[in-house]
Amino acid sequence: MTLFDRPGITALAILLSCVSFARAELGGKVSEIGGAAPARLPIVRSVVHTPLYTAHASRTGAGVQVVEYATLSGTVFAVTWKGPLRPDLNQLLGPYFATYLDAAGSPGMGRRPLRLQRADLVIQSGGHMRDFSGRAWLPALLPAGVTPEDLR
Amino acid sequence: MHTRMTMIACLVLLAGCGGGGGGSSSSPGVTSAPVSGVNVLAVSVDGWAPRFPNQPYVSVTLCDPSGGNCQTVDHVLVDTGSVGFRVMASVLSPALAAALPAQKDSGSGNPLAVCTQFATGYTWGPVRLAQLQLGGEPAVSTPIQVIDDSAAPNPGVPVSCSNTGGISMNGIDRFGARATLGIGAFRHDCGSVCATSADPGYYYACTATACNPVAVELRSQIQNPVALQSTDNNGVLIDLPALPAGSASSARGWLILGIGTRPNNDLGSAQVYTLDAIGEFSTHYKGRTLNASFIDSGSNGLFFDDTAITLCKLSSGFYCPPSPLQLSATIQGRTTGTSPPLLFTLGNVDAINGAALAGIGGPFDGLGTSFDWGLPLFYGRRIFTAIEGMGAPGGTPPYVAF
Repeated sequence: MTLFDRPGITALAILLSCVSFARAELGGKVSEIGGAAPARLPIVRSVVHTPLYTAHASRTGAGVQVVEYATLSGTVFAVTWKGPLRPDLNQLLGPYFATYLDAAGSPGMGRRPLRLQRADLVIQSGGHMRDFSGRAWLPALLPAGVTPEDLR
Repeated sequence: MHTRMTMIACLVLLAGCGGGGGGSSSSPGVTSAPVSGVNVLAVSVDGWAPRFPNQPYVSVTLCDPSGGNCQTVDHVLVDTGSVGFRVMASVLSPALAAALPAQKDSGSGNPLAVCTQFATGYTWGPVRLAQLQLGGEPAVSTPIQVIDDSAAPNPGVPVSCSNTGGISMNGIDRFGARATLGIGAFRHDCGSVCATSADPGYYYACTATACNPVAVELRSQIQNPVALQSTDNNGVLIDLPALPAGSASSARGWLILGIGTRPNNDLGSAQVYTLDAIGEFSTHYKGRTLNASFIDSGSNGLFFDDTAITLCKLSSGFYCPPSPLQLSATIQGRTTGTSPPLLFTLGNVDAINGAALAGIGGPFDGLGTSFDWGLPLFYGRRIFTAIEGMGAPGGTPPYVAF
């Protein structure tokens, strides 16, 4: 997992746990995590604490890696995914999923990756059979010092 | 393309658009040198589907499992980025559609359906058994996907399928083809992940009222039809002509089955680049190593992240440099093979016309670790794709070579 490979993060406290949880969604509160486990429950979970944010990583049975980035006050400001299938983006993007579908469904050209680029919302999704990846973030909530390049 | 995109903008905005035009006209059609053999299919990049430049098409013959009710399907997309044959239900004659039996879930006995994920979206429909004939080769029996089959006992697209995101590509206008011939470097479409996991989003077993995610053993998954042949089964060669003017009204070449099995598919001096278990290698571009790179004849352009290149105003998701931009990148196989610098010129997609376009590209929207080498790479090259588990000259598949 690239998250753990990056200098500056590995030196920080890394808390590992394997607990049941329901995913938070983009714009939601990580404190809302909890409750009954849904069928598509990620089976491994780790939390990385940095001075700027916390990153909650999970992995589904099919091997899809999902990372949710939360501000220190607990709001999910970004999500990333990578794996053989796309995860449940409705669950991951929450209220922004409908916006994404509206944008993706407008007349566009070609077989290509998909993107939604707005001042308040960026969603990027691409890949090919056996490897799909993507990320979404809320620019207004990006903590100072965090760039989109950190979200991978 | 400029005219077409302007029209779309007019339709959306209902105001503010004058005449279109301004784009350069494309040169006449170009053609590869003749190739013949039972293992050869004619490929045409002819701009058949609006909004989809750079799509290579072949015709294939589809029959029921006993070899009856045969039908030739034209404008089948040649896709090295996926595996398996998938056809729009609307293309099939009623007799053929009725004669394609359902592929069953071995556990429940219920018919299988598949939510095939592509970069742009997904296709939904039942898995059926059919015979497929490629060129003059003997027909092979294989599970295929029938997309958008209203006659199937499928109670609609499951929410967990549409929740994988992107757009529904059910329908010729959205898919840009009547069918797709997935002939990538693997023998099965989803592979071991779907054989061991029933996570939602790919295979489903359907009752009359619901489709539920299910794991499907490899032999029941949708197959690479090339690998099922008794000969010429270790991969494919795509031979498309160069585009001297950078664009052409059409490009005609060949899809040749097998690698090193006949004089017409000799690997020759082509450099082999090995792929990993998910079909990827590394690309070096502007000092960065993009380790999730791939070659995909079904991608309409070259897709990679470079924030220094101007994005198009009209053609969303493409680059529009104000003047032609000469760039280069190097491919490095996962274990072996390093290419010389591969040179390419990006043009202004909003101002280019033609079915075949050597210089179009856009950002790759993912985690910024990929270079998607789409069809522009294929012009003027003979590109081999060798299938996993099959013996092939020059290296151990899966690999690509050119």
